Amino acid sequence: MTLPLAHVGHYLWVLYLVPVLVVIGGIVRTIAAERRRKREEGDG
Amino acid sequence: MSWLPFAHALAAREDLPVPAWLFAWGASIVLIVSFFALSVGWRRPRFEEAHWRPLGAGASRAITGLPVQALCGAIGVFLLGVAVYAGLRGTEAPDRNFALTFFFVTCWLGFPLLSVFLGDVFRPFNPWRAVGRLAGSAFAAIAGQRPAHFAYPEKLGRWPAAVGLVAVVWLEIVYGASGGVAVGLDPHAASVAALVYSVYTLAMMALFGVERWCRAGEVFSVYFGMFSQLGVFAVEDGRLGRRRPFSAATRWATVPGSAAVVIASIATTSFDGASEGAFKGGIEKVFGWLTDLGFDPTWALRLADTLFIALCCAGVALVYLLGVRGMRTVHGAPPLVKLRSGFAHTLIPIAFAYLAAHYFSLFLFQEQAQFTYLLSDPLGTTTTDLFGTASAGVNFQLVSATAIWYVQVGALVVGHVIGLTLAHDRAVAWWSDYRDASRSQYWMLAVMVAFTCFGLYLLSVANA
Repeated sequence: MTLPLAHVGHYLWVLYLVPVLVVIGGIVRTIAAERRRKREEGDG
Repeated sequence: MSWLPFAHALAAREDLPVPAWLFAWGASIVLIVSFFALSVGWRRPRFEEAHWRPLGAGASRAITGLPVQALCGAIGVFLLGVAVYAGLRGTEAPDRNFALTFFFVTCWLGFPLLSVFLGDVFRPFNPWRAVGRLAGSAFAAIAGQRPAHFAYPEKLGRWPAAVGLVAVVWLEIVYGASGGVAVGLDPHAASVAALVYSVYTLAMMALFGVERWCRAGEVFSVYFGMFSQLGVFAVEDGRLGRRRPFSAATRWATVPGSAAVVIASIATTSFDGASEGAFKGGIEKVFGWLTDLGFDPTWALRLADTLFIALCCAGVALVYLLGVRGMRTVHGAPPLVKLRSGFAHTLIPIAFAYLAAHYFSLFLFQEQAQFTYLLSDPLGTTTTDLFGTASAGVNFQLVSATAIWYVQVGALVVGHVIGLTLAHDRAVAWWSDYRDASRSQYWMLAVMVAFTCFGLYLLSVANA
């Protein structure tokens, strides 16, 4: 069986974008967690 | 996997142990690990002071003394003259004419390499500086006083050099790519451009002073000088000395327009790598629209390339500015204007890494031509053989495609780790709380990962 992947190479750039998105996602998550913790400490 | 009918990029580089995109993931992991290591172990600034120490007085005098300076200047003027003459009178074939390889490979790529390891070596060889200084001395001897100059507008900073840098690359890869054929720039056009630039530079030196113009507006002095900030050797107050590596870079970007110079360097290198790969489809599409509008095909291609160079500059600037804006959100951050110039030096190692990665193989192969047949037969007329090497060829088997790929990946990773380190060092110097400094660098980590992955993507597509 041959899969219809002849033009999958045109979307290869997505694989190079993954690390950037992972890092940005990590940063946003960390910052949100820090802000939440500070808010909770302030309330407490 | 041979049953998968992959077209284009995915079919390439079967000699690599893993797909090219996995190198981008690996490089990103290296950066993330480096970031955490810096956060844990790097708590005080180490590069803010240069710790410059003079070398032996004898060696210093020999290298920085007037006889050597005059000799270097004379060599610079002579080589510029040879290249201009070869371009004007030699063959129109770019690969057989001394001028193009000398201007755009030996000098444009060789001086950044030499500058990083040996310091600002272009300064003594700068032909325009040599002529300007000689003219200034002659004026002083005749008139009995030093020539008076206008005050250079400080706000202009290095902006003339940044614009000039884009113009040099535009001339080489946009104007030279006329008609879409792989002939490159016409040597005659390169020589005329060199003459026009010489007149412009000497006029600016007459207006603002030789050393002032070299520090701010002379494209090649500013560009090569930028890379020399990473190195160990430097001349201060006329004495040769050693300093802590990378430390000089921390003060380089305080002049307005410095960030534009380093951004232009990364952007133009990116465009050169992408024009035949990642951007090829887009350029062809814009070219088609412009020719449909009635543009001449040569100028339609030049306009399309110009648009993509501008997009590259805007894209690189945007990524950097997003990183800076992210840092501004962290508690205790300095004003945005200070951050914008204060972290621009962290891009210098990246600019060098991009140069090394994109042009390593070109430099390796073209320098064989430069020091064999182009040196023996500079006009390319096949009638001269000055050093008996006119019939030599280029050995393209010198390094394998896989070895070139590893050098490219290595250059990008090392350059970005150094950039990250410089950014972290600046952050711990500027933020009073060490934890805030580390937090501010989340954003520079994102910038570095983005530039690394973008660089590797361009290379993988260009090599495919």
